[in-house]
Amino acid sequence: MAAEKKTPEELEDMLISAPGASAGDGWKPEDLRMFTFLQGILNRIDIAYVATYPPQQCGIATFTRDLSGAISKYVPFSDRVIIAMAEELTIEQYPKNVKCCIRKGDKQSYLDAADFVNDSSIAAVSLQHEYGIFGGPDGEYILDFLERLKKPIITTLHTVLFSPGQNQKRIVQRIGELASAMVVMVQMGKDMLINNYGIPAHKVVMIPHGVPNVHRVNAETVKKQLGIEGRTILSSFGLLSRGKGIEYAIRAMPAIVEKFPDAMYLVLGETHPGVRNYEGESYRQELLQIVSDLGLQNNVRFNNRYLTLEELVNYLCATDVYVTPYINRDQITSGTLAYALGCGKAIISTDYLYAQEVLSEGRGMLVDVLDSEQIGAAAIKILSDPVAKEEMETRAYKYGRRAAWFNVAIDYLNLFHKLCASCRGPEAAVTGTTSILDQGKSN
Amino acid sequence: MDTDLNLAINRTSDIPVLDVSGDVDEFTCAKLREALRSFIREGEFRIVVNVSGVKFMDSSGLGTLVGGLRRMMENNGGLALSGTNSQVERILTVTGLDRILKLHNDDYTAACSLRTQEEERKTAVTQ
Repeated sequence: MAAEKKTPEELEDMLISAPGASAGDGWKPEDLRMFTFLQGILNRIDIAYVATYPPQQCGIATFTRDLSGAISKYVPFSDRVIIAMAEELTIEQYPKNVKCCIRKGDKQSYLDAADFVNDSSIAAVSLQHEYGIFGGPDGEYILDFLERLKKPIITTLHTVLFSPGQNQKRIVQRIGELASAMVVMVQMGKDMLINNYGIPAHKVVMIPHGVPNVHRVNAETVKKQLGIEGRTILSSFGLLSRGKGIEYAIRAMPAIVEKFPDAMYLVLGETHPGVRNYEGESYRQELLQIVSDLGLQNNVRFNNRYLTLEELVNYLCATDVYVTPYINRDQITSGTLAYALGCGKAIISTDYLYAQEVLSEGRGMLVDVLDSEQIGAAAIKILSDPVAKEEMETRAYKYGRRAAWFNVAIDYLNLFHKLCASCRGPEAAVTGTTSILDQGKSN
Repeated sequence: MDTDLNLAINRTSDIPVLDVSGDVDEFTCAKLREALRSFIREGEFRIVVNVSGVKFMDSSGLGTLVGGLRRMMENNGGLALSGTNSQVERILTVTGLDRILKLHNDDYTAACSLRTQEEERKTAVTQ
């Protein structure tokens, strides 16, 4: 497959000009000689990403869009090929970089996709793994794709179960055999893969979950823009489902309101499409009922739709305390928590695995799952001490800054280049790949 | 935490050195771009950019440096990078831009490379 021909304007957008740069400051469209020159200079690596993808709404789709977009900015003459995991009996209006779809329950489509990759210029495959997005028991159909593939595979694991079922363990172990590298987003995930699954240590790489590039702004200024000035804002965002434990944060509000009568908890995001198909809006209705029962109509607000990144960042910037009250203690990553860190927020979270690691060293406060009282006490403690809150925010921001997408993209590109350079098969060793997180520790 | 971009100009040599510190990203690169353009307006077409103090750089920052190099080269000059910065070095290597934007250990070496380039250009012209 040949590289897509890009217009000078597209190249300008991808590499040269910053968003918001004034016209004429970047490359001029007529400056084709320089484009030709750069085309010869810049490294090229065509990467295929196998995952769900927008407009499908889920965390992995967003992750894939953000990761592939961030990488493309550094390699504008390379192809970004998306192989989208699609549900059966659905049709999506995918963007043009989605070149191929795998139908979740259709085994043949996994083989066809592998053939497509094998016959193309694609140098490496980035697979986003989460059991539920693939077909078959525990998503085992993805093994058909991987076994057929002749290109290096880098798998990013979005779930690493501490106590996997037999089949779940077998699948991850087989992926470990077939992949050149397995990426996890926290050190704990790396340890689990090595110790619990027997994945060779040299194949496991830690690269943090990416976060948007946000420069800190005064929360009060943003609150004014959003029409919530003068309020103390707590928030949670993401696709709503029962595992989010939002009811425990709502039940914490009476104690918080008693101390801070202007407190308002924002629950941002629509119901997860999969949940909506299964049980409609019943969870949201239950939450609304709790708000009503507790008389919190003036202190809890919902925004029931999928928010754009800009809207999300605005709400986060306006937030005084971010809350992830999730109830699954095995959760090994959270995009919403990563984003809150990237915005430098004071964070309260239940002590699931990902939160335990990223909120250590004073970057947030951990509470037990299913415990509203602890959430309330933590919020009151943070809001009562502005100096300590500012220190917590600064530590969170510093951590999040190192995990900005533009840094994470370099981590991945570095990994892709090393694997492609050192091998054309699945048994390549990954050595010397250090995360920007490690590199940035001296900063 | 400071995410601003700070610039300082050192003119102790015939080739000015622009010390860059902080984050060079989509929000701040306009400031760097304007500084590079002001050198050209003032008729200075050779410049060393010291990146030792850069904390983070994204593709916008990288593009700004390449744009600066392009404008200097259009005027028969050049732009060289100096300083120790593993993050910047890694970005240059991964993208392949290290072929045109070399990171020299110090300002003196970077300035020497620009003088050498100029001499080579003059020699090529006279031949």
